[in-house]
Amino acid sequence: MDLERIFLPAQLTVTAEELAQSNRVSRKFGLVLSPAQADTLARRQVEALRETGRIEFGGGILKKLALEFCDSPFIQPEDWADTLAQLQTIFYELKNETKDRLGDDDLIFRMTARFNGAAGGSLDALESTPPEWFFHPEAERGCEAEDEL
Amino acid sequence: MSSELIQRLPVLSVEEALLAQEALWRLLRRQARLYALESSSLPVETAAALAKSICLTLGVDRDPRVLLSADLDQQLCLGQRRLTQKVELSKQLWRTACLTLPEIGNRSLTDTLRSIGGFWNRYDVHFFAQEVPCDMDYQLSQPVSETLQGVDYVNDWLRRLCLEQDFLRRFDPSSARAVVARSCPDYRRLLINLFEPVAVNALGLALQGEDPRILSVSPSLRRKLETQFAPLTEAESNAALSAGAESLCAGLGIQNQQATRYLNGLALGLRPRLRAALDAGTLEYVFLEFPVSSEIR
Repeated sequence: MDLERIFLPAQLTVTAEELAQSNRVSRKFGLVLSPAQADTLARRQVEALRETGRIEFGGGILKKLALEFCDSPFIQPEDWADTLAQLQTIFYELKNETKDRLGDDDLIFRMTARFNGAAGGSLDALESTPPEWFFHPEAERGCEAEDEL
Repeated sequence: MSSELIQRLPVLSVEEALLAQEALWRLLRRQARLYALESSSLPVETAAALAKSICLTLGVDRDPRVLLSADLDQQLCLGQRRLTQKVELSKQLWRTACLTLPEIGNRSLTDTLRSIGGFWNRYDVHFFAQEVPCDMDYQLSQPVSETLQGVDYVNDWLRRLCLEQDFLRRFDPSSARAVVARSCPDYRRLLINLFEPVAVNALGLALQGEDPRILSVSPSLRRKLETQFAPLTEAESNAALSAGAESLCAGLGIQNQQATRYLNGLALGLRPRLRAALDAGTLEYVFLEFPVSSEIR
């Protein structure tokens, strides 16, 4: 696709810089990305965008994902880079599946809730969540509350 | 960025093409942010549509160098203003088309005009200027160029329709209806063009120096036309048809240059059909006869 070919370099640069910034926050939780990992993640972002047929106009979504997921009790430091890579693919897939009706921040917030909630830290469970769930996450909370009773 | 644009950029030097891409990317990023305020990414198809809209608004197809302009943001605003003015023009053309609707009922024509009536409410000058958000099923005699997009397409379509309808209004409605009915008995429901059968018959009469308003081409007149065209070469036929179109315009008092060109286009477009009909031995199904006294539906 022409758009990807033309605009790829600009996307790569911004994402790597932003990831370095997210380290400042995630370090508190023992999660740090090396410059090499940041670079690899930036490249995997390009793959994720290509796979999901999307174009990034900001610096990418990795920084937001890192900041939102870094306090998850389910993520181990050694898995941090790989988890982030998978999260971004899931994020772009969900953007398509929810037909862009949810803003980035809303979707990430709901992904976090699902991942730390019913998905029990499983990326596979997060990925296989029906898209409709993300429009009505409160429905699950209601079910959980009933279970607790 | 559309692939067509990439192909056009070679008219720029390598350095200029890079600058043009950079400028387009900057505009595209701004438009994408305005379009999806809470998303940093978009599906490639949406981004490509936004880029296409920018290019159309700026007139990149005509002049890729516009992307090198120092005041590109202002150029985009001016382009959007131009498109908005064209939308106003489309409203005027649509009103004219509705007011001059021929007294020959055709569902696809009325449905198309109804759909165009909602065009300006759905047309998105700011993000998808290349789109035509309405159903235009009615078949014009001479279709609009597929290179036209968005409001340009709609306006050209309406201009052509107005020319066709203005032509039809020059004839007695029952005669015009009779020719159309002879050409296609189910003319009210089918996707047919109302102008063409009337114009072709009128041309046939003009070619023989008859009053085109009569509309019905008698068998004797048709035989004269067969005799006239049978021996002619392609070039001679074209010349004769053009002369016929000129006579037709003179006979009907048509002076508008767009209308005369349109009728000339119709006449020249008729040549292959004439040749095929002559090869089959008759122009009976090209130039139609209808009983003048018959009851018209």
